[in-house]
Amino acid sequence: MKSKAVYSVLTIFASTMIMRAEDVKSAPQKITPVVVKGTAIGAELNPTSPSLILSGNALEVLPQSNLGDVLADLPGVSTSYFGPNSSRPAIRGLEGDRLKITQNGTSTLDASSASPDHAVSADPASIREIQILRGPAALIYSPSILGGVINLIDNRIPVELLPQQFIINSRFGSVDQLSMQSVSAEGSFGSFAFHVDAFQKKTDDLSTPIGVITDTSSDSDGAGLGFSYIKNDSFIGLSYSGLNSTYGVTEPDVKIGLRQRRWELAGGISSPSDNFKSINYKASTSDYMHIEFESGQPGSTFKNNGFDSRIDFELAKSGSLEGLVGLQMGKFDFSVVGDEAFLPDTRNTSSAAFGSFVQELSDSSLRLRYGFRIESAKVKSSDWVHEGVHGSYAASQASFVPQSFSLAIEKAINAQWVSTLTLSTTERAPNYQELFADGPHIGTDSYEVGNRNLDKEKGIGIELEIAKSQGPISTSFSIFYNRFSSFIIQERNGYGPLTSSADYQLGGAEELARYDFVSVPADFYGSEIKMNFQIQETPTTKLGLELFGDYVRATHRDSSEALPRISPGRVGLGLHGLSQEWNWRFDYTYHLAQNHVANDETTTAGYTMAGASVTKLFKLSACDALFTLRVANLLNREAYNHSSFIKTQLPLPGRSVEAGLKLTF
Amino acid sequence: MVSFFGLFYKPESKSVDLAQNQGVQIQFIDLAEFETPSPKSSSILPEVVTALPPKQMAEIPSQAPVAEVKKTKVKSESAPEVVVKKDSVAPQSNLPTQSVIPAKFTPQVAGKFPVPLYPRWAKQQGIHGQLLLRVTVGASGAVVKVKIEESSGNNALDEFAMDWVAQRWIWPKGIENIVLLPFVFELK
Repeated sequence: MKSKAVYSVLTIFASTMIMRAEDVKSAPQKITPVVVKGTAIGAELNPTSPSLILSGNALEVLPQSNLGDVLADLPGVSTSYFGPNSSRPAIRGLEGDRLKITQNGTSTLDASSASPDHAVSADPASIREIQILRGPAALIYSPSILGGVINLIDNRIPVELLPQQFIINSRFGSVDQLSMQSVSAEGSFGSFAFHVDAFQKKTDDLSTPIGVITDTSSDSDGAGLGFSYIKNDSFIGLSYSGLNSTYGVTEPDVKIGLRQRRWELAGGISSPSDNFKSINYKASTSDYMHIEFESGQPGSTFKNNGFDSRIDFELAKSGSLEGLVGLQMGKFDFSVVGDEAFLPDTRNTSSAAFGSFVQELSDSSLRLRYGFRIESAKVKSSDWVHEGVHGSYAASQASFVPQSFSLAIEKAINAQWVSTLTLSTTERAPNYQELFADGPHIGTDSYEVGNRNLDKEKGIGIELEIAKSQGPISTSFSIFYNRFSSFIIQERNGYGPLTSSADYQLGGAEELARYDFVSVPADFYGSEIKMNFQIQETPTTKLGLELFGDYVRATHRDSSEALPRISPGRVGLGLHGLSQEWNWRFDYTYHLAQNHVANDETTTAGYTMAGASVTKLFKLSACDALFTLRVANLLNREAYNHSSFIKTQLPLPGRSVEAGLKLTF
Repeated sequence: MVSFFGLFYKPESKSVDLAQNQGVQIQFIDLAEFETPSPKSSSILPEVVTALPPKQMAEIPSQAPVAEVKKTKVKSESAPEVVVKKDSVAPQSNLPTQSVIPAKFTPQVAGKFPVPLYPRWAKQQGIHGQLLLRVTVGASGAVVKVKIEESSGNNALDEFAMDWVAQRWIWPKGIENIVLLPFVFELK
């Protein structure tokens, strides 16, 4: 999606003009400034405005080992931490298919939501911007919005002519012997703009306070190439990218080898007619595969081949109403072959119509945002001959029509405070795994059993946010309650079947704990707070104190039992500033203990984490340099992440130092 | 020979005779003047104020600061026959009266003055700033020359604004003009 800017005009007074009689002298007139506003967050909203954007140096200072780590410090975010190489974010306790991750607005088409040990197929090294959307705006990407939507932008398709730029970026880390190099080049020739990037990243086994955890190393590389033809108000572009990664998942002698190749096509036109502000379209195809190697021998192969496409019509402002409507259509074939073939081959198709609107009301202190998304989702499984709980299956199909709606009412309490009440009702179609799984899943050490009769996951959410963004004290506080009448979870049900099949002998499959996908009523509630006291603010010296915290509690409503793997939250203090051209930050966070646990879970102790970072922008001969230095887990605390599937085997990384240098020519 | 003063003419402003021979005098206006805009101040929209004989316009030398990136789209100014009646032009330049702040960039002359979207590359890298362009408008209404009077500090952003105006903006035909055009790229 082309980034939006909001225009307004400041006025200046004008010009003067002198003309001398003898020789026609005139001074040019100075006219009203053209003000181009590129608001990242805040009051200037349009129907697609993300609630948070990370890019540039703000993204550069974050850890980059995986997407979960990049986002982990944001309010409401926890990670699935299946070792340092596979870590998906969870927001407000919602993860997997409930937290849609898109790449440039279309699906990532990987296998990361199928199992926590599968990495997201977009490496932070090639991501240039991360958007988090919530509420009505999130409906343009997903029907499941109670956690939000994460949109990753890699800039591979230029949407405009680009200035020439060449970037070399290096990063080194102590805790996993990280060594990462990336390069990118951008520019334009006539009406063509291009982008090329490549990276290489290597890590060794992870050091923790209890020692080195074996089988956690990784070796990845990726590259992308894209170009666009840009003419006046329109562009069309194409990109090709690839990612190869071999990584450990903390299991002895198990390595995952991942390969993805992705084509993307995107185009757009601004103001094609009086009725539209812009029309944008995108299509991507992906060929994803990963092989799980056991002692060097290929065990299981996961494949995801598919495409996703969308068209967005941004409507011209009509009266007080701004809006975007669109269509999305995609298909993917997912298959697992080998020891871990716990699923039949499936073909998954979905098409959706969506809209997101912003409406000013006659009472100027009020503004409405609302959106809808109606999907048609089909999961078709092929014939499946296997031994399992259900035995062989004939081909079958499940169809769903998820419908989601969201309304946000924004009220300016006064010039500084704004309150937003968001009401959402969301539905999500069960995925291929929740419907059709029947077999041992080594990643989670379990025997998974799907349910072909599952209905849609349904929930309603209410959220109240109060925010103040101006002045030396800024704050945002939100409380939410998400009530699912139907929430799909894996429920423990004894042990997996004993079978004679060779397939099931692997890893002692006969003794695998059995988990059934069931639908239960569930409640999620919690809150997030962030408050910043800007103590000093001049162009050269800044000092601020930040207070932050988040909390979430998730309960099976019928049994009052906790839902599994929910990180309860944290409270923290951050001190940040700018002095002598150094930006610095120090954080001290207490992560709450989790004592509200599911039946087969153990409690997790609370822990403190201290971290610090410094960055400096400077000139190095002809180029701009950005130096970053980060220290994490300063106290070298032994800590465990409750939302990790393998928390008991895997503490969080020990004290680490990471340094990076980015040179921009 | 026309001679008039803008409502806000400030005699103490720095005047530089840029092109002595052509007799064009340019009044610099401090950028600070629009850093803290007063809502009371009036606006002048792209209005034609004056015109010089085409020849003289064409001969305005590009007095280029070192860092200047010149993106000139020189269109042959083959409109020597255009008779510009200054008397008829002058009334249009009834400089600021107490006008209301425009909610949008709404030029009051015919022509095309589209406002760009914030470029994605600049937004992502946090590049912002303000700059002042000196725009020479030809008799055809097209921009014949754009120069940076005051840089934003970022060459790429300067170029973006210059390209935008040079390629997108069209004034009404028949009247030549030079305007100082401030551009503000604002990120929060």
